[in-house]
Amino acid sequence: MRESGEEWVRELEATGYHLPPERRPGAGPIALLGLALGILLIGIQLWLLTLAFNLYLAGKRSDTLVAAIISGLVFLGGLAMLRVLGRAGTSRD
Amino acid sequence: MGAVTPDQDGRPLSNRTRAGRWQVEFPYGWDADELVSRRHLLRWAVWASGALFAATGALAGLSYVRERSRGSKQAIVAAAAVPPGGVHYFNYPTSDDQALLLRLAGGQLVAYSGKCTHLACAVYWDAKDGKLRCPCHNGQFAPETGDPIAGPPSRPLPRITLQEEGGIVYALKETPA
Repeated sequence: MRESGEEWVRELEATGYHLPPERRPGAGPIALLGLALGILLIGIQLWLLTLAFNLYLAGKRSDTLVAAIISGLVFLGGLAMLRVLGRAGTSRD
Repeated sequence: MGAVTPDQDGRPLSNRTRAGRWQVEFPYGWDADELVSRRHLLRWAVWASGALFAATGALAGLSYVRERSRGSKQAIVAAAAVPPGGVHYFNYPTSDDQALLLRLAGGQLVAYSGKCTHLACAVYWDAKDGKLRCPCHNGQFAPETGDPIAGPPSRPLPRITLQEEGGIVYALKETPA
């Protein structure tokens, strides 16, 4: 008798248990890398926010705007990364 | 992510075919195993990034919308009462805001807010060193520009625009930097 395999899958699914969908090899580490990058970029954005606040208090309008634009680009990069990872794996990763 | 186990024919088993008998007897949903997946956490991180961008953008917008100059025309002191290298302390734009008027060695008059841009301690004129000094953390500012030159302050002292009229020095407005 096989201890694992399609036979068990059929029996298991009959109980209402949902098995994880197939995922591509390496999808997990890629998601982890994306998460690490995301956290690093959030750190940069936090620094940009404090910098923008300092520039705002110093009355430097154009420099505050530059900080906001860089922060926006980081956010757009994060959205793009989320989109790419959405295609690369499953929600398990 | 467990190790890939081969089946009886030596082929690696996929996630689906790795199910065991124990899972039939204890059919807990796999998605309940991990309440927060890496992908979910990444999604939250991206939204947090959006919030940080919104805050930074709001500051940039505010700097264009909100006028940061304060004060109105106010007489300070007779111009002749401040000799070169001398200082006159006064309150501007309100009676609670300390400010200082300096006559530089070249004869030019300059005025700054007397509130340190680090932690708002009172700044004083150190005639011996020729610097504006904050005693709390030894911050120093250049008398010519109000720029920070030493210590923790990173922003210049807010400058007060002056006008000399009939021998009297007037403060017109205070602007940051």
